Amino acid sequence: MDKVIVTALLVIAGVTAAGLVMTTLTPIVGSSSQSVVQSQRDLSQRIETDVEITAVHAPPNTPTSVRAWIKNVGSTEISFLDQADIYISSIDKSKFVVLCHNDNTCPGSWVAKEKDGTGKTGYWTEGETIEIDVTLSDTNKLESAVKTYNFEFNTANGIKSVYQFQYGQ
Amino acid sequence: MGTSISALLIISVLLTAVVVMFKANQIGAELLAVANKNAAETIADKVSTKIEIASTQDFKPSYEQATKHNVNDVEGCKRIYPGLARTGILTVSNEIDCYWFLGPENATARFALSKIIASPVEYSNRATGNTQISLDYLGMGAEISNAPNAYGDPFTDLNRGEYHWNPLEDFNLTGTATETDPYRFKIWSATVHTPRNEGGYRVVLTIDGVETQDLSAVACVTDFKIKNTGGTAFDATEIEEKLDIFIILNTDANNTAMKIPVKGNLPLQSNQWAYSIADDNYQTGIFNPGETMTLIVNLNGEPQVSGTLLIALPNGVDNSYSFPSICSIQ
Repeated sequence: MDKVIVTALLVIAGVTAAGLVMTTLTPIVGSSSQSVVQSQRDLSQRIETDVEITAVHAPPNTPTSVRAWIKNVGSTEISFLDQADIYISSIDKSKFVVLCHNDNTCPGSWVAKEKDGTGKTGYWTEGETIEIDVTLSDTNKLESAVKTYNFEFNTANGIKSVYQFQYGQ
Repeated sequence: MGTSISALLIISVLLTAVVVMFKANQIGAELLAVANKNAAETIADKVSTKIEIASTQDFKPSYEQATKHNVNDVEGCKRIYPGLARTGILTVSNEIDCYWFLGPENATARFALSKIIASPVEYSNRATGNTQISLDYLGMGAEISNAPNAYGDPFTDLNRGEYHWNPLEDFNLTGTATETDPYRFKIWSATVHTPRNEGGYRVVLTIDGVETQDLSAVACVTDFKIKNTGGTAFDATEIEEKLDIFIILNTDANNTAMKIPVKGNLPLQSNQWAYSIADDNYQTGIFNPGETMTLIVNLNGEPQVSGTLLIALPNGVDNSYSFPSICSIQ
């Protein structure tokens, strides 16, 4: 009789232990495998992402305005364009302006447009060129005395392209 | 019994976990492999891409227009700019050429004249240079005449064996010249009164204090030639949707304007471009290595000034080309 009771208790203990292991391990295994896949996916996305600034134009009669054209030259489409980071800096390091997306209260603001001038929405597809229109505040306008600037564009996942341009040319 | 069951359950759970992790790693590795392959293909594609840009240029109609400033002129005069050579040819049927120019009053000017002996000069005269090319400066007002003794000052006659007049003989620009009454000179054969083939010439005018004229005043590009000198082909969809054309116009000494024409169809509207591929017998419509694309850009309405064409191919490889101006499209 005692043996039966002990065996029953052991069975209950064993099943409970197994259940505990399953309930604790399963979510851990699931989430860790998901994070492995996600990190690899992010990494592969970074590898496939590439952009190139094709042209930048800063006419001298509008020192607060800069237009840049950037091409998606990677092998994947780019999302979250509004989270891109854009900077304008002078090569003599006297000026560094961090631009905000579509926010005129910032030292500089930018908006993205399609090649035909309409506002850019949706994914930035492979081979597509977009126009970035930058408006600088008066205090950060381009100076004729410092004529060479860097235009730096960073995608949301950290892929960078830099273009050197001459103010007024 | 219970221990065995629980042990089996735990082992199976652990095994499942290992399998799941292994599978996750496998999926991740496959993603990375595909990404690396695509990135490698993109880089290889770029490395093997190369284009060269040239253009077909023509003189502007205004540069070829001959104007008679004097009612008695036998020949209309074409404009010549300081520093830009003019060439022509005197033949039996074209005995005289005439040019006009503007410059600051009292400025010092000079000519350089060269003979170019080739067809239709008769073979017997070629070896000896037995031709005559004369230049006579007439100043303002005097009629353009082919009559004997209608000489000017300064003048020169390049006769047998003489090929160049480059003595830098200075003369002064007398009077205030205007487009309706400009300084003029003629090129003819001063002492040969029986028409004959005198051959070609090249004349250059320089005026002290006046810079060489920008080519954009006289020449314009009718089309651009883009040769695919790399190893990458581009299909029609890529060209029409992903090729970028930028044109930077030097609107004045310190200013530029950026034009971004869009793909259009013939006949082109303003601010549009169109292309065709020459001798496109292999894979019609695809811009293959070795092939040349003819690009026409309509910038009617924009100032006809010098500038730079920037072409960015679908994969981001770009090249630029400076041009004197872009011809208007009729």
